[in-house]
Amino acid sequence: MPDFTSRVFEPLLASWAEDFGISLIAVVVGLVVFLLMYTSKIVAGRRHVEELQRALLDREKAVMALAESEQRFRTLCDHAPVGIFIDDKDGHAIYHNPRCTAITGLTFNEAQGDGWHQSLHPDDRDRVVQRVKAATGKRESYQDCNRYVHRNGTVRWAEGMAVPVTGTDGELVAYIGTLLDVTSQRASAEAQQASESRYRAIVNEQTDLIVRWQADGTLLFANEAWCRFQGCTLEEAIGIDFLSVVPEQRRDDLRNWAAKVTVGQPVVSGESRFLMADGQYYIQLWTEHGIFDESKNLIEIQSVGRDITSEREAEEQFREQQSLLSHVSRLSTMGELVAGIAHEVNQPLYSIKNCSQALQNVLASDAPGSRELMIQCVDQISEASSRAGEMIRRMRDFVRRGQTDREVCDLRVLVEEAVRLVSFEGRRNSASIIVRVSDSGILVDVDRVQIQQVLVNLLINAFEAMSGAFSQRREVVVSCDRIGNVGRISIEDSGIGIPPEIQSTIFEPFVTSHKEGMGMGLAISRTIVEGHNGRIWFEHRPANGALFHVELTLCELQSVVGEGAEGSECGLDQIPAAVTEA
Amino acid sequence: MSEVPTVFVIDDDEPACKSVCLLVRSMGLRALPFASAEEFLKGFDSECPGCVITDVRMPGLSGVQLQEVLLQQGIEIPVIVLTAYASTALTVRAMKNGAVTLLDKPYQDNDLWDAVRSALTQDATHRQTSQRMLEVRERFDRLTPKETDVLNLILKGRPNKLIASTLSVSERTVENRRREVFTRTETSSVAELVRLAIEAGWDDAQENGNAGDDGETSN
Repeated sequence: MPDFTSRVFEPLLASWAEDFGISLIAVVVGLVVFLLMYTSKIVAGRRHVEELQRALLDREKAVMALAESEQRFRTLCDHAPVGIFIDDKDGHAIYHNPRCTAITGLTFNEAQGDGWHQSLHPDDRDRVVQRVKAATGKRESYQDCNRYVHRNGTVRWAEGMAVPVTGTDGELVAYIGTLLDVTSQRASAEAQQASESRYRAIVNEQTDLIVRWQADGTLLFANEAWCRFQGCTLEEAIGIDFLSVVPEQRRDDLRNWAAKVTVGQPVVSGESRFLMADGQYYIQLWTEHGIFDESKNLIEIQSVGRDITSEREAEEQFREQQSLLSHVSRLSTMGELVAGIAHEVNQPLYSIKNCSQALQNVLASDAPGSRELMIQCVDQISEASSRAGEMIRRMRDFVRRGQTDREVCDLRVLVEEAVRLVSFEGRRNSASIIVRVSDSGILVDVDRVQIQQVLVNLLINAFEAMSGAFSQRREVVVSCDRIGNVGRISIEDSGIGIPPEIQSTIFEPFVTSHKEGMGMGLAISRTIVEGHNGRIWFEHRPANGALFHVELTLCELQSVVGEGAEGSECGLDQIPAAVTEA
Repeated sequence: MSEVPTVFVIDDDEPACKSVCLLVRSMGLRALPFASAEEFLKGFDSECPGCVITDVRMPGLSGVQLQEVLLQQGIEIPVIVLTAYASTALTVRAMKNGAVTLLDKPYQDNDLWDAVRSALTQDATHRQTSQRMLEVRERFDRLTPKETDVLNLILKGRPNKLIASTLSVSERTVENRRREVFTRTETSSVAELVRLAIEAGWDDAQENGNAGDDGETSN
């Protein structure tokens, strides 16, 4: 550190040296006095010696204090977390603390003078050198942020700042400055910027429509997809009332929502269906998300819209096809049932014919007591025609080309209607159908016809399973139960059960154990039941036939309508098919 | 024994059953509905005149099976079979079982009326025949075994003398017994006696020889 001492502390030391010189003279004078005193008056001289000693002690203390101060300064510089440097008045380095060395990668010997320039990043070097030169020329302070290339190849960003230092005479003696490593801050700022631009790119490249707007409707930002969809540029879009381009049906809802949206429930979504000016019909799914600041004030709303027109169309097409398929299946089921249906319609017609013939006889004979007989005949005719009409309605409903209409139905009524449709089929197979209903008012929200289709399918399957010669007891037990929040219909037969080789695939299309039939019944049944969020499965009970279950979610109206359904028009006793054999 | 003939209507389809009853009643006849063959058999009194109208396809006993049960039990009530789906096999079986007729549902206006009338006539005739036979038999039953022996020989056209030698009795005894036979059977000539014997189915009895209990074993 010779330079350090000579250049910086020279002025200070010079002044101290001056004092020190004077002290020497004082000592010499003291010695002369001492010699004089010694020779003449030793005792009197003793006091002078003491004074002299005191003076020497004071000097020593001053020197020590100086050393201590320098040591403190050195410690400070060595351990400071920032780089500290001192340049001479022309910008030549005369001191670098270790932190500086760590940033530049140069030892002080390498860095001193203009040596530090070599550590500057080539792209920054000229600029920094010029700036220092300019500042020192004007004796001004300066600051800069630039890169240093460490000898190990790493590049560090540092913020340098230097202020001029003047001596006691006001002359510029040096620049003292700091060097702050800002590499990590720079990196995170860069990362943030990169992320910001990436985000922007993502938002813009989205096919989803993205808009940011304020609660009053003012549009803040829209991505390219939205602009393209609206046929405008972002510049044109910013500042317009976003709500003015929202389809009317949704506009007020959205306005109200924006006025009331809370941190707790910041999201709303909904479907917009509208006709564009070009005559094209659109279905969009929009999600609005309120963005709040820390004090829970709504800052803006982010809206993301997706065009789901084709998805919806595909879904509708799928539903259409499914409904068509189940319709075809119902027609084919009806084909199997046609003999039974004909019988069921024929019976009342037969009754009507008998009664009208009876009426003719009575009218012709005019016998006593004929009035009572005539009344009975007319009653009977009326009853029979209702029955025929009812059967025809049931049949027409069953083969109706259905839109999927959900309605609240009582499981019991569903089962009873299905049993009626197959009653003759059961009789033809000499099978008795036993209906067990634990409870009325087990209400489900279903497509009545489709669920009946499932039940009719299962019942016909049960009859077929029992048509084997070795089946002695031909009995189908249909039961309805409420189990938790589901309603369960179970159909139990005493037939041959399900052959093991098709047990795992029984619900697949074209899987069947019947000689006739397409094997579509159970596949369609499953599609229908699952379309109702229900489930259908079977239990194979060796030697006991098959047991199929259909579970459907109960509807919420349960308790309310449950009481009303108590006296429903379809009582068990009215089912001619539900035969309980003695 | 009820004198008014009853038409027993059996059909598991209750309205249909009722309508047939109404039609029958409109003909001025009594009609009783039954939901099954079993129910009909349970309460049936064979003394009661009438006929049965039954559906074929029913849970439990079918109409044709009912005919067979009636045959087995020796109940000779005329049966009219109704069916919506007549097959040849079914028709043959029903007719073999002695059905009055088999009608397709729905039948022509007067078919049922004709069938019922014919069935009731058949029943009445049958009952009359059986009644007469019983009466006639009863007359023959009045004869003592010895008189019966004489009767048998008279029916064979034997003269008194031959009868006496066959039975090893005097001609006078034969004459007495012969007079007794005419009195007890309420006949006045051999021709009349022969006609009555045929009516009572006495021919078969004759085959059985002189067992002496001919009247009771005849069938």
